[in-house]
Amino acid sequence: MDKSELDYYMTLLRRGDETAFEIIYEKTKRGLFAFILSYCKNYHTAEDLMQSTYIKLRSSIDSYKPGSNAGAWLFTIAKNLTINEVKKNRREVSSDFSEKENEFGEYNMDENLTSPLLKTMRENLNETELRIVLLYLVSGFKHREIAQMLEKPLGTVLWSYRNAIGKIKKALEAEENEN
Amino acid sequence: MKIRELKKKLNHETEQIVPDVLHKVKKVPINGMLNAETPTQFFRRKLLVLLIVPMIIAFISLIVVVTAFAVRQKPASDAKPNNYIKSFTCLETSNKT
Repeated sequence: MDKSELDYYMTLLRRGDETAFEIIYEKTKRGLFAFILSYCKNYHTAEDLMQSTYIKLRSSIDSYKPGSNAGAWLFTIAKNLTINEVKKNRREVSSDFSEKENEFGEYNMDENLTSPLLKTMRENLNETELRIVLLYLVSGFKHREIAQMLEKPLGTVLWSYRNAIGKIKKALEAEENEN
Repeated sequence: MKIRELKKKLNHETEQIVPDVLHKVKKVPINGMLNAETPTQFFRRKLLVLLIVPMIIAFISLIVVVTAFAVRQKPASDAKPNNYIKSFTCLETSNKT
């Protein structure tokens, strides 16, 4: 979605237009879910976090400043909620190791719900590289915006992106050769 | 594989696995109470903010008043002898004339 278009719908939502929320949801759900998935490895936790992000968006829409980067604002909400959840879960893991062992630490995705390409990316990229590639290719952010969102220098983001693309290409070629 | 193809494939595959949470989100009442706060917790948080803000303002005002008072005191104590000397010299010159 175009930045100004998203800002327009955010402003409409701020005025109480519920249909604007549905449009925002439809336009951002794919990128947002992929972004959350890059932080947590469990599908159902990612689903809950996606839900919480949209609830938080609706409840704190008054704090949105029209004219600002709406996408970055929404993804920052998602990032903060996800990081909090990860931290909370780590604390629970240390106290109840047996039940929550695989929640965030190990890859625990339902095979039916995973995309093969995403799986290949997960296996070959580190967390930051995966996040950068997803934010750039799926969510449609620019490298500069990604750098701001992830609080990393632009050079690092560009380098990680190129590195990640190289790794993905290599992995896909290897998979093709195997088949 | 080119980046454009990779992007297309990734977007398509992600589209297939995105959960639909719209109906769940729309069901949740929006009343400013976030993170599953109970009404009591919400009230306490609001009350705390309401109390803290006037306290901070009062504290800053107190500091300003005390500083202003302290600054004002000093020149007043210094001014006395000067005024006295000034008035004395005035008196002296007027007597001479």
